[in-house]
Amino acid sequence: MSIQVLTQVYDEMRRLAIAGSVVAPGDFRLKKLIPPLEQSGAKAPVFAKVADAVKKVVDGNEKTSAATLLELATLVNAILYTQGETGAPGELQEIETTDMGAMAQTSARMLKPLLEALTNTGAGRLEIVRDAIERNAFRDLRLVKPALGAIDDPYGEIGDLIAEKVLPIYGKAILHDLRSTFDLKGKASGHPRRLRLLHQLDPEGTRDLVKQALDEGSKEVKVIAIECLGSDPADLSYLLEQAKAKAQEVRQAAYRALASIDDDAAVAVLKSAMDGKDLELAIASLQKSRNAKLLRHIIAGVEKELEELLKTKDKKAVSQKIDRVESLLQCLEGRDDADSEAFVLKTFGRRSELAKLKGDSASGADLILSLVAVMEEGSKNMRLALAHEHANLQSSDELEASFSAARRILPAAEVFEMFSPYVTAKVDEKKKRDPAYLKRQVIIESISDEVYFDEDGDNAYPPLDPRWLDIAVVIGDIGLIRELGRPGHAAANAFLKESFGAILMKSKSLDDCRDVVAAMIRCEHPEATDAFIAVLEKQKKQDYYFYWFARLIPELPKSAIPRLEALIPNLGEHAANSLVDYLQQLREKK
Amino acid sequence: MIAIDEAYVDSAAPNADAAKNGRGLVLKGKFLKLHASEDGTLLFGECQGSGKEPYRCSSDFARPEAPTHRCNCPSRQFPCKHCVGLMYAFALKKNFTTAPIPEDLASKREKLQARVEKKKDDAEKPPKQVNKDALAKKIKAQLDGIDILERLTNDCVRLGIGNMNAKLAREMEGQAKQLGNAYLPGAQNALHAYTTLFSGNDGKYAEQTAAQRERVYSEALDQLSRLHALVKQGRAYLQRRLEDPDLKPETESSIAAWLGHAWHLTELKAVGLVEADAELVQLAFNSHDDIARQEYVDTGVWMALANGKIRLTQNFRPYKAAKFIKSDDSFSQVAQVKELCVYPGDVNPRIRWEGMLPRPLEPKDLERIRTFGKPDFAAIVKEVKGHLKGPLSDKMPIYALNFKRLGKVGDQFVAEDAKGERLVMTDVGMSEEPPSVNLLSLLPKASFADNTLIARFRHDLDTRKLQIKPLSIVTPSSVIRLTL
Repeated sequence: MSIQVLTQVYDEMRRLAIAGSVVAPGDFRLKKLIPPLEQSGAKAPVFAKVADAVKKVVDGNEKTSAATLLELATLVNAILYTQGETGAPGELQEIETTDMGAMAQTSARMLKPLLEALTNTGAGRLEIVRDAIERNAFRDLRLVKPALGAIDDPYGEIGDLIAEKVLPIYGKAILHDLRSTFDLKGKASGHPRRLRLLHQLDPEGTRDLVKQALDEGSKEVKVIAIECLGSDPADLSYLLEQAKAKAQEVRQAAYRALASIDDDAAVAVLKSAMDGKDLELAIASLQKSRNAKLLRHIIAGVEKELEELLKTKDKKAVSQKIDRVESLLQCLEGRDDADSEAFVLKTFGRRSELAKLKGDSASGADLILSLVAVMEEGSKNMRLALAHEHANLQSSDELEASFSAARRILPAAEVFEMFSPYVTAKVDEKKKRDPAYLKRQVIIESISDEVYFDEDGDNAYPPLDPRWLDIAVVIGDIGLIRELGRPGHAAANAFLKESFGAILMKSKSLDDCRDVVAAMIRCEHPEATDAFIAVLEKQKKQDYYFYWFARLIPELPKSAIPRLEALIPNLGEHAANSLVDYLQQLREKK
Repeated sequence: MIAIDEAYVDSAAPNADAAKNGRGLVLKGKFLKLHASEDGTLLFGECQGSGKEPYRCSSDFARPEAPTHRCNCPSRQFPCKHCVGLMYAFALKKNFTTAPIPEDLASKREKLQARVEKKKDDAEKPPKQVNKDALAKKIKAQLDGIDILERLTNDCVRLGIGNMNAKLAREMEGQAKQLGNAYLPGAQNALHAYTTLFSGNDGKYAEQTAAQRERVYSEALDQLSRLHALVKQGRAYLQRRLEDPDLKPETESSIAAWLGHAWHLTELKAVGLVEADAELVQLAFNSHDDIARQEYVDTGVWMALANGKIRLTQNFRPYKAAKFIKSDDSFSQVAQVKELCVYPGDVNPRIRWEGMLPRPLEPKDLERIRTFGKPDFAAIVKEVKGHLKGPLSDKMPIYALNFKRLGKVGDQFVAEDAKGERLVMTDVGMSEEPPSVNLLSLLPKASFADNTLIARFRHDLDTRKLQIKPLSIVTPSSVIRLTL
């Protein structure tokens, strides 16, 4: 009872403080509380004190109003502070937790910037997040919620990184959060990311949500929802419906999903996509599908188009048809069944007929190149046919595909015998249009390009015949030696030594010497480190290409470390900094 | 011999950039000379900078718990990258030749030695005589400042909190500067704390919506009554000191700190606020941006293993100088401190030390911490309430609580003691640390029974509830930090 009076006093006092104490003197609502306060005061003296303080406020004037009101506030607040309510009635339930596995505790100096990067906007945050992922710093439970928030990061790359690399670490523990913040109709990229992640972490539990997203979701969410459906036959009706969607992206996603379902209805949808305007959208899906009926339809479709094409005369129509046939041919890529093979080989045999086609923007040569591309990635027989036809191919692009097919299918020695003549052939280097020159270049380039494009080892070819290095030395192609080099090849070493001397003498920049030094390093040439240092010494004033040149350092032998360290004091600031970084990489190299 | 490794140098560097640059100097071979003294307590060398003359830097480990770094470069970072580099060079086992200590270093060393000894002597000597006239003059100025504070406070109340607006808040900020001039920085901060209630998160004053304002009214009234109490108690305290110039700053309460008295360690030692050979474990840490003070504040929450008292280290980094002051980091070992100075204050007073040696945290230390947890929530609540009622008390004290179990009642997370007394957990109103309650649902189940909870108490004026915010949980095997 008495506490109730006190809270009443508090409320009145708060009201007066907000309105301004000038209106406090004579305030009748406050005044009304004096008698009950005095009554309680008889039992507990503190209430009498409050009553006094209230009286002073009410009886005061404008001048004293502030001081008396504050006096009252201090007193009442002090009492109320002792009346704080604690506890919570009701049954105590267990906290539902999901074990997140072993979690670490990151230090504050590391954690704080990361927390800020995740919760703020601005430049430089991606680096911090990437760095933390690398250091495994996200295995800290204090980062879970901020990471969840960052799925909506306005900077797309951070949002993607978080959704792909960080949040999966936490497993099912974050399902509830993801779900409660997921908006079906959300167009911002955080919502599709959420749905994908939810499905990835808990496919069963997310089914209802996926279905709901298909019915009501935004375009962006629908696309993901379709991806989540995929292979389950029960999802077919949804997918069939989505294939009629207005938005291209949604239709495309539906085609993709339908491609992995072996069902007549699904095939029918893909067939009509192929026959109609959606062919471009559906290529990847048609390619993926392994349905026999669909395949027959595709082959029949190309055959029909091809026959029509050969009869067409109008140049514009020819171009259009060629485009369409090329698209349809793409649908056959990556197939090794007998039907596709027979069709492709048959068509390959009609090259001379196709080569005559001339449209206004496309020609028969384009079509053949598309066909050759299918064969390069096709069945064993397709590749064999392409390889053995190398001598009869028209363009250097076709030869390149043939070489690539051969390398995958034939023994290295045979490949060498078939294709090395292109490299050793006598060519007129000055006449760049010389077909022999182009063919030589295409073989050389397709060997050397691997350095740049296949560093991660995907699509790696079997090793080449060792004799390639011999002819690389014979024709004196440093790029090729760099690619093929191996330790202890006397001819290569001698050639490189000689070339290096000449190149260094003539060189005007670091870049001029890079290839030959790289080749020496690759061949583990005894003088590789000397060459590297000699180049640096000659060109030390000029560090525009330095970073590019210095990238070779991690490939040097570890014995180079002290010699390179000795160079640092003489280098410019920038050059020294990058050298230090690369030296560290060399030091850490196993 | 000096035992330092790369990790030691990492932590000695004022920030990550200094560490990187220091290491770079070593790798770039910028050190022209690297020397160590014969007794191995001093590293010194010369480092090439951008100028003609190299910088002469040295790291003196004569006092291993508080090494001295010297360098004649103009950097205000301390230790500068040259000293950091020197230490890296040593840690990376570069070739240091033994050499006699250069004269200037030797004399600096002697001077330091003398200073340290003098400090020790000073600490033992009775404090020097104060200039009574100057003191009286200062106190009078402070009393004038108190009058200004009173006027400002009363103006606010008279006008009404509801009529506070961005313009007025800015004006008050301006007047608050006068308090700084009147040797009342503490009172100035208290006034800032009030005005910042009306500012946005960025510290700028913009007009607020009615809902935003409604949320701060209760807090604002409490702040005003705090300012009122500060005026009253401050005036009484200053008048007492004016009448009796021999009176020392008060150490029993925090009033001196409220007025902005900067405690000298010698003063603290003189009144016996020093604990010898303390061992401390950090239980929580936070680093927050205090707009009212215009500073970053790094706060460490430490428990002394000897007496279980929970106290705070505070590192203030004013915005303007933040670049040059080393930020504190969380600390997961045991800090061994020769002399622990404790500031006057209430539940969680501030502590400070000069020089510390780390040792690994062992299970027996954790066991020790757990014995200090309060098992009886009813008793602790009574203590907290008794403490909160003081108008100038710390409104969010930190305690260690031994809970029987943690659970949920409805949506609320709750800690329960052996007698079934419960405390509800919340993040509301405690924004110095990042939110922590929601982390409970990510913890292993075993942590929810019979452990020690380090928690901050807060009484919410609007809901009239006394609730806690979990900072960390001390289990037999680890300290699970929920904040920083």
